Amino acid sequence: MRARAPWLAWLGTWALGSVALACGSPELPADLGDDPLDAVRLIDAPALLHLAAALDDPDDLTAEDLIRQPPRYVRPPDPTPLYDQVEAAHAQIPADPGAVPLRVLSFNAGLLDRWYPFVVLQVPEVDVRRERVPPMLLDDGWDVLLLQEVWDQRDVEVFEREAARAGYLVHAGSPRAHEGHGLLMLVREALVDPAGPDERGEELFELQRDIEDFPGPAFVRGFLSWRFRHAPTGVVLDLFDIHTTAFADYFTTRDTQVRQLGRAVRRVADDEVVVVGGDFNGAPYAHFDVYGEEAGQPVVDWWRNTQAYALLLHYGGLTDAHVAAGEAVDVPLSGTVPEVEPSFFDEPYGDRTRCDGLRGGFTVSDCNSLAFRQFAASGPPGRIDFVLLRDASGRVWVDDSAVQYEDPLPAEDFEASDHYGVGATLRLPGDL
Amino acid sequence: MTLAVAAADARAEPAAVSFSPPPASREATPAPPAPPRPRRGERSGRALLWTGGALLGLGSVVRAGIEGFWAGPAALEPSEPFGQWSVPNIAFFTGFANVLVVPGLVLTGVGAHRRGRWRAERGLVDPAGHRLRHRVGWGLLGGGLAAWALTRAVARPVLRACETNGCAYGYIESTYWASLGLVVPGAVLAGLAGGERRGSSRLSVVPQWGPDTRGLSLGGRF
Repeated sequence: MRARAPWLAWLGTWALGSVALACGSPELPADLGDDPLDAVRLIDAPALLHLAAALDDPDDLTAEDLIRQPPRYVRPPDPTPLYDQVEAAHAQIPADPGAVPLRVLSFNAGLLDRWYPFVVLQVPEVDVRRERVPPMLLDDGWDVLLLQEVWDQRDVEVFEREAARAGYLVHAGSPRAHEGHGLLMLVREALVDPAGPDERGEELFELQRDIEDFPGPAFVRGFLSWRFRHAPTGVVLDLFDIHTTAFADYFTTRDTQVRQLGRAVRRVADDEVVVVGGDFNGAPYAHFDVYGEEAGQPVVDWWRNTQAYALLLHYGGLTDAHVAAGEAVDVPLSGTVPEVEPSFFDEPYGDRTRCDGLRGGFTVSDCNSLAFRQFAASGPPGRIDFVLLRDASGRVWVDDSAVQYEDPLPAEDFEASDHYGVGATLRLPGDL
Repeated sequence: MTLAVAAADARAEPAAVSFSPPPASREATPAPPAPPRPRRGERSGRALLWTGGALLGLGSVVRAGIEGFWAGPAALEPSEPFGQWSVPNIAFFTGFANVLVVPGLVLTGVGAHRRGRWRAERGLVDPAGHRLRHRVGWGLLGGGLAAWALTRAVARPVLRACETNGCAYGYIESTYWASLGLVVPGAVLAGLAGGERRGSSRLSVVPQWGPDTRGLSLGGRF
C-alpha cells in the first residue's frame, strides 16, 4: 500500500497516533501460558529448533517466552534444517494412485483503495486490477482460492459475479467484518458435497494494531474458516484464510495472531485435513536483522520477524507445502541480496537484472513493480505467503508448489498485485 | 433621600434617577447627569464578531479542504460504491472543521449580542427591526440546529442505505452546508436581537460625587 503525499501522511500519523495512544489493545493474549504448547521449550520443538540455534543460551526458553519477551537473536534463524526435515518426511508418504488433486492458491490480491484523515492508502493500478484480476484468477483452474486484501464489498461483489459464472462458491465472512479483514475464500462448487457438512466461520484476532482500525483504514484482522466434505474423496476439508498485521515492528502482534490461528487449527479433528493459506507478513528467513529504510530510518528486527512462521507451524502442527514439495529456495536466495545502497531506491536492488535470479523464491520483493512503487528498499525480499497443511494421517501428498503471478498482466507493465501468489497441488487420498 | 429625575424621555434616552443625601444648607437641586462612562472597543462586540467570523471562515476552509481531499488525493467518484468502512472516519474527519466552526459560532453569537446591546444603549435600535431580527434569528438558529442534529441523528441509517459515494458524501456535505447556512445568520440575528433587548432594559448605576451631591445615579427604561 502506498501513502500519497508524504507530508499528509506524516501529519496524519502524528495526529492519529496521539489518538491511538489512548485506545491501545492489550499487548499479550489473556490466555498466554494456558496452552500446553506455550510451555514447550524451543530445543524440544521441531518447528522452533532453528530459533534456538540462533541464540546463545536458549536452553529454557519456551514458545511463550518468544511472545512474552522476544529474545535478541545473535545470528539469523536459519530454517534450512527444518526444511530438510519436512522434505524428508514428505518423501516418506506412500504414493497413492487413487489420490485426487486439489489445486490451492493463496494470493494477496492487493485491492487496497482506502483513505483516512490526511492519508490515502492505495496499491497502484487498483482500478485496472480490480476489473482484470477476478476473472483471471477464476479462469486459472484453481480448486481453492484463499485470497487476501479483497477489502471492499464492491470487489467481493465482482468476485461473486465471476464465481457464479465460473462455478465457485464464495465465503467472505459477514459483510461488516469483511471490510475489516478483507479475506475471501472460493471453492469450486463441484468439489463441495451438498450433503454437508458446510460450516463457514470467521474469527477476529484478539490482538490488533488498533490504529489500523480507527482512525486508520478500518482494518480488523482475523481469519476465515470453511469446513466441508470434499465430494470426490469424502475427505472433510478445513480451510483457513488469514492475513496478519503487517510491518516489521509488529512482530509480537503477529506472533499472537498466528498462535490464535494455530490453536484453532489444532482443534480440528485428526481425521480431517486442514489447508491454511494466507499472507503472514513474516518470512521464515531473513539474512539481515537490519535491512531497508523507512522515512530515513533503518528497519530493524527482521530476525524476530521470522518467529511468526515457526510459531504457526508449532501451534498449528502445520506443514509448509512449498517446503514439502522441495521448492523453498528463499534461504539461499536471500543471501544473494546485498545490503541496501542508495541505488536501491531507484532500481530494484540497484540492478534490475538481479530479479532474474530471485524469480520463484519470494512472494514479496522490490522486483514486483507495484511493491517497488510503494516500498522500495524498505525490506528484504520475503516468502511471506503460504499454503500450509495439517494432515494427521500423513497421507496427503504435495505434488508441486510454485510462486504464481510473477509476470505483468497481459498488455500491462504491472503485475496482478503487489504480492505474488503461491499455488500448490495437493493429492488427497480417498480413504482417510 | 430625594428622587431626582434627570432625563425623562424614556423612549429616546434611558431615564436617569439620582438618589442622593439632602444638601446641608441649600434646597435640593437636580444633579447633573453623569457623563456616560467610556466603553472599551470590545464592548461593542466588534472584536468578537471579527474573531468569530474568522474562525467560521477558517472552519469553512477546512471543511472545503476535507472535501478537496476526498475529491483529489482520495479520488472518490460520486458514482463509485460507497465503502461502509469509512463511516467512522467521515465522522472523525469532518469533526476537525467543527473545532473551528463551533467556537466561531459561539463567538459570533456573543459578539452579535454585545453589538445589539451597544446599539440599544445608543438608541440605534428600530423596534420593528428588532422584532423581525428576534423572530427570524431564532427561527434560523433553531431551524439550523435542529436540521443539523436531525440529519446527524439519522446519518447512520442513511449512510447504511447509500450505495454510492454521491449519495453518502452528498448527504453529509449538503446537510452540513445547509445547516451552517441557517445557523450562522441565525446566531447573528438572534444574538443581535437579544443584545438589543438587554441593552434597552438595562439599568445603570453610576456613583456621583459633586460639590453638593453625593450618591448614585440609577438609569434605565421603566
